[in-house]
Amino acid sequence: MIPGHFVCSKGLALLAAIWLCLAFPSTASAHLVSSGVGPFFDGIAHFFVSVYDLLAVVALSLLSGLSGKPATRRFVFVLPGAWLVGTLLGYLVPWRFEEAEWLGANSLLLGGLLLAIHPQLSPWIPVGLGIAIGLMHGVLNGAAISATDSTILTSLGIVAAAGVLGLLLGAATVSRTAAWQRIALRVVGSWVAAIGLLSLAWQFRPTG
Amino acid sequence: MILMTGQHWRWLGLACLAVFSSPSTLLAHDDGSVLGGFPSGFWHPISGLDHVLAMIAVGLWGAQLGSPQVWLLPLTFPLMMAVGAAMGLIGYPLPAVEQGIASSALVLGLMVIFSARPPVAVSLLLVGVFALFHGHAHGTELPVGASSLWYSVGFVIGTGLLHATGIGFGTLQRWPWGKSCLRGAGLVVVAGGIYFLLNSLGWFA
Repeated sequence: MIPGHFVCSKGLALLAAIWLCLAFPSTASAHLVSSGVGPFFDGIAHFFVSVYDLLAVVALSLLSGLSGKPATRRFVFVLPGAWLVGTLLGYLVPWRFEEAEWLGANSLLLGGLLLAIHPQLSPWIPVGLGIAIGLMHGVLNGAAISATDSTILTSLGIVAAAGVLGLLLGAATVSRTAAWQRIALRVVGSWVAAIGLLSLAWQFRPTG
Repeated sequence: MILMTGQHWRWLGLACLAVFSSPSTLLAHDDGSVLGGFPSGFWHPISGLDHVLAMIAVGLWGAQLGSPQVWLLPLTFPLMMAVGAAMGLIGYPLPAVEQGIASSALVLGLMVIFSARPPVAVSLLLVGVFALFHGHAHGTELPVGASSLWYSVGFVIGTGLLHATGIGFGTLQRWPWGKSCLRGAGLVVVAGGIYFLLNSLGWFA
């Protein structure tokens, strides 16, 4: 096989996949994603198209990675744990949240800002944030899923996706030592914070 | 090595056609979905030449300054632009927005022409203040009914890609002729800034 053919085919496949994701978003944004391979995988797919969840995990994982190995070791366990507890709470207790977008935007703003500024943090700060934001997103997910006809397996899929992504990003970040790499990660934080701030301001937009 | 055959070019062409044609049908009416918000947000910073010139100039200047500003300027700009957009969204007034945007192109273009090297804090302050004007203009012009989250994602990515374009073009500075090219690009940005400044002052009315 000519190597170039393979690379090009992979690139085309990626392009096609991106287009497919963008072309059929309505099922993803308004309802749970139907992956066609069961509720657990529906949950995984749902996580990756839920921007608030996805970006919050990205920002916190990078933050924990930049904060060093001790913080990352604790973070990769507490994030999925807190998310799971929150999901069960949200699933079992019939809460209704009107401020889900507001809360999601706040978590992006907080996580993104801390990542962008990256002050010298105690290793416990990313851990504490992992618990707080994991619990909050878990409760929101659980409450939303309990209102649909989805099963708890869908929630577990979301938790698994959040945990695996947190683990991978945290591990990849903690080994980044070059100054430019660490600043590039902080640029990502500024993007996440900007998205959170814009989204938050949108909630206060005057109507009429 | 990437070898593109005729078949690959056809597939690539089809894929590009699909990507660029599918969102356009939804640009006219923002319906709160991904396609209603993301393309609007993505194209918004790219659609105005005054914005484009300034944001590319940020990338060019960052590339000239080297590390750490090459990263710090694109870190500061979207963050402060989001602050400005938030001010515009909630209706907080900012004076002389159009003049501020035009001045940003003018000043940043001059920085590129002269390869100015102020202290890091000064360069960040300069870019941050100008970003407020750009953000405020975008914030007051946001379409009604668009998906706020997807609009925000598109908006930030569009802005970041403009900076990346400037940084990419700025890598030419490693060659002597590349430095001349950058100065030429700075000259274009300055010319655009002067035009937009005079236009905002009503000279061409």
